[in-house]
Amino acid sequence: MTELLVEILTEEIPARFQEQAEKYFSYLVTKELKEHGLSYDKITPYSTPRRLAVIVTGLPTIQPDKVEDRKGPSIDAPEQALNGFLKSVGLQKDDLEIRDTPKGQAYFAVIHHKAQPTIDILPNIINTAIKNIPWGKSMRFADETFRFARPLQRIVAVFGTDIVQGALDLGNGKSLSYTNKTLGHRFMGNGEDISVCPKTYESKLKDSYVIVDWEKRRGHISEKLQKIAKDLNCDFFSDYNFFNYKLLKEVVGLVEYPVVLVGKIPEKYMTLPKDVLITSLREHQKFFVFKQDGDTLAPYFATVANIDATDGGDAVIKGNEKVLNARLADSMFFYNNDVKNWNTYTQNKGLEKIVFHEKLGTVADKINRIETIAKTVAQNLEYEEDLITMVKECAKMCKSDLVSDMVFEFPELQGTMGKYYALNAGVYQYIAQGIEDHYKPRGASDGVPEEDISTPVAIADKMDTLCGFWAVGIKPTGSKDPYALRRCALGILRIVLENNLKLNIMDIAHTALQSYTETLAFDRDTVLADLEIFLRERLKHTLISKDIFSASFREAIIRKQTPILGELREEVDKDTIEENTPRHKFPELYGYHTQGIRHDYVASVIKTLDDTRTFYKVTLALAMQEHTDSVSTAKAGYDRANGIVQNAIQDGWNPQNQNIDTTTLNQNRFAKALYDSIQNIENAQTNVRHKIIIDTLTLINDSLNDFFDNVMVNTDDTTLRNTYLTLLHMVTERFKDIADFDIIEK
Amino acid sequence: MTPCTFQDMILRLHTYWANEGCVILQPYDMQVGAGTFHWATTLRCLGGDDWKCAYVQPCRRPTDGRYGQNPNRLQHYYQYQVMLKPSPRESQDLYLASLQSIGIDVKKHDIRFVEDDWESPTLGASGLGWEVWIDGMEASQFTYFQQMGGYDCEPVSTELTYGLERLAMFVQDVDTVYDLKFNHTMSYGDVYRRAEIEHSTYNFEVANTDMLLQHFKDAENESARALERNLTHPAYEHCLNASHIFNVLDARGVISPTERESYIARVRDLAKACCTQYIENLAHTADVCDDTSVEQYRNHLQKKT
Repeated sequence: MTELLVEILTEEIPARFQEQAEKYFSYLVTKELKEHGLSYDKITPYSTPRRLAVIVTGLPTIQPDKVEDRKGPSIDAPEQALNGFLKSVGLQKDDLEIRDTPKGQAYFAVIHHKAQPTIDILPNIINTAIKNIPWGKSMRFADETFRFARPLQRIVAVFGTDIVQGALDLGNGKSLSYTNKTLGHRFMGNGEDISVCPKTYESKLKDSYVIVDWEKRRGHISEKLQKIAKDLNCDFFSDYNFFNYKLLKEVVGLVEYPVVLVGKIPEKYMTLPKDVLITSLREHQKFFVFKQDGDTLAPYFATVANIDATDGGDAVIKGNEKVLNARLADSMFFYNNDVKNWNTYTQNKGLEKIVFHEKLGTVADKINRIETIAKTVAQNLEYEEDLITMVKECAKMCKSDLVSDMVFEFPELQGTMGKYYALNAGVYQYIAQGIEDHYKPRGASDGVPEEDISTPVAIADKMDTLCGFWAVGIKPTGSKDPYALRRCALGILRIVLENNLKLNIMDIAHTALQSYTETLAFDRDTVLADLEIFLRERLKHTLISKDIFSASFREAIIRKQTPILGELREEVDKDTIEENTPRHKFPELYGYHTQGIRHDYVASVIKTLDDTRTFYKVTLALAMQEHTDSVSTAKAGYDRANGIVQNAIQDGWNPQNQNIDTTTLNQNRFAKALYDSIQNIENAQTNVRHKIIIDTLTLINDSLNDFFDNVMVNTDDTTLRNTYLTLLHMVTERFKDIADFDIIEK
Repeated sequence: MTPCTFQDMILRLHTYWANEGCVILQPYDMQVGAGTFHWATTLRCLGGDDWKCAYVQPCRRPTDGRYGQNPNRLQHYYQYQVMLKPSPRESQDLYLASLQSIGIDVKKHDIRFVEDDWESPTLGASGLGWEVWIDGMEASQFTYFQQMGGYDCEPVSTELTYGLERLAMFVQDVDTVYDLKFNHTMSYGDVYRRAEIEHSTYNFEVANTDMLLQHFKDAENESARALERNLTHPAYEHCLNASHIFNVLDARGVISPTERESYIARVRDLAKACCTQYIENLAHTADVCDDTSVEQYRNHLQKKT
């Protein structure tokens, strides 16, 4: 048994690609090994900004023998076909066997593949794996045709202690031969070649100041950060898990030898709003920040250098502080200027110059529409008059900060700056909060707005966007969704669902389209119908999808406590792997253990969004998924009842205008019990506790079974038959009120 | 060791890149927004011939003017530009050694290659690469050109762009650009501050917009006319004129967002046409070296009209 080391030494690969690349590369190597009949014990992936590597242990030194039965043409096939087959397998006609197949007799070739030494087939395996690593973006280098995230420098391939003899074809006559020599840290290493083999790889690189294990670098940085926080008597912000982890991952991907250093934020800038400081520090400088005394930003930052500098890092800290100083000086200038001008901004004159979309007018136009739509939402949610006034006020200034200097400089602070400036100007805090929150959910992991004032504005903004684009015929197609309309739709659905709003989404769409009728020519009913399908399909898709549907989503909906995480995976993958990546090609890689709701359940429940019961429907679909046995039993009962009713209808029985004859009904206790049981349904339906609906179904089903076991429906007594048929018809109709049982599969 | 002056830094970079076989060019005598616009980069990155050059390019960004009051922002500043075609395997090492040549100790500072892909809608160009950070400061742009004028670069070139003022501020450890030592007696402020104030005032307040709007049209037409006569370089210069005039108009705030798009598109169309023509004429210009071939090329240009 022997070990294999493959290292791709490159120029700096973008941090956001590394995690995926590491995963794909090791996966592709194992896939190729398996395809060549090579077993192994374990594969360990490594990655740094300059390296992608794997060490595979327990490989045989020689491939196992392999016998392949290859099917040839039928014995009746023309001579040509047979000759072609003989040529392809390199055998004579006498060598072939004739075997029976379902399609008649055919020739078979038994091919003995001669086992080859593993080291001889490795180049094929290594090159295929390297070539198939998918990149969000890739490039060519010099006159080569080979594409990779950044230029390759070396390929280290060592089997045991032997260099694998091979080369990667780079196109145009260029190639890169395998070697056993790598390089250490760009600045701390001595620049000389380092001979490595699988056993020495990690330790030799460590001696040359490269921590090649991603997780070890992460652990090191994380540990240091915690120690620093402790020493400074600080803590991390509560969003540490998300934001800082994202930053941590990025930083781990930027360094081979992490050294955590601490600097100070100049006192004079500490008066800037926290979000401004944090954006500058985290997003622009990739610094870690701390909090102290509750939720206050501490005047320190930590930066992760890629070098243990000869002066102990003094110059590095000084340089970083200087850059930060310049950035914050700019921010301070912008902030003071904006505070001074806020009252001018809120007149929205500047927004008349910002085009929202050439066909949909300016942002000022959009603001007017948002106000109208938000008002409708508020009214439909039965808000009091003064609350409606506040919603309108919030709508009016929700985008005023777009003309501010700060947002011009830091677009990601849109909304947030508006909030600060409004608060500063003495605006009621929930209206100010609404300016920031109306953009929510900004992404998958972001929560939805929850305050009374924010939700209508948030829905209005998104619905206006969606309807506007729909009215001019711009819709997402395939992987193209340049205006992020899918996310927009999901945003609306999430706000409604997670707040359990009794809101008819389509009524709002109707209002939103109404405001476009003066400026655009479109057929409102057609657009509305089309939009309803789109929104409904988005919802269904989210509920069905295996890869984006998680258990926490269920919990969120049912408990209505935490944000829906439905979008999360979509977003994470988009972040790291952009369009064009053949994700579907590697389902094995995405070990999604979560399960979507059965598509037939979803389809049976969510038939339209044109009412106020969206939340109820989603919880019901969830409930069904969690009680598939009960649903299956109910389905069987429904089918039996429906079968009888449908047969009767075919025989001329008319279900219309039939009334239950209670006297007749009461004569049979099973019929009576069934009749009583279906009365419970309506009560259950008003209760969002899904379990009750399912229990009710089960109960009806028991009565139904008793009924079938003990009652003959098709009797000669027409009154009796009519009563029973009417009863069964009622049962099927009640079932269908809950879900379309015709759609549900057995 | 005293840190090198601004002009010394340029001289050292010249020496360094000259030793690496670059043609040391002088700045393009055109008003441009970035070193990339120099014909030596934009046009010469097209075609299969080898090409290595380095030059300083004064850059004009009218909207960045701050009346000489901002420590970092200027409407006129310098880029040091290096073009290496085809991209050499040791591009990164060459770049890092150039930093050492201007006195940056790579063992004392934190130098990082941070992903930053470059795109110029005006030139129909794009490339992959990094911005190079030194202790958190963006010091240079490092790009492998993939496309120019909508054409695939074959071969790919390495483009290095140093922000000279930033680098000098870093090397000299000063907080404002005007305090830079230009040489041992003059500061950057002594040399440029007055002009900076005047240009800012002109760009934001004074420039005659009617005249400039007319000049834009004239430059655009002249570029198209030169293209018709198959004269790529003159056409390209008029295209750059149009581009700069547009930038001044933008600073004057007379271009609405919708118009903005269309102006950019007009410049881009010209730039692309120049690239197309440059490529088309490559076959005829490969050996313009003696009198006979010059005559032949002139004949070729005649034929096209």
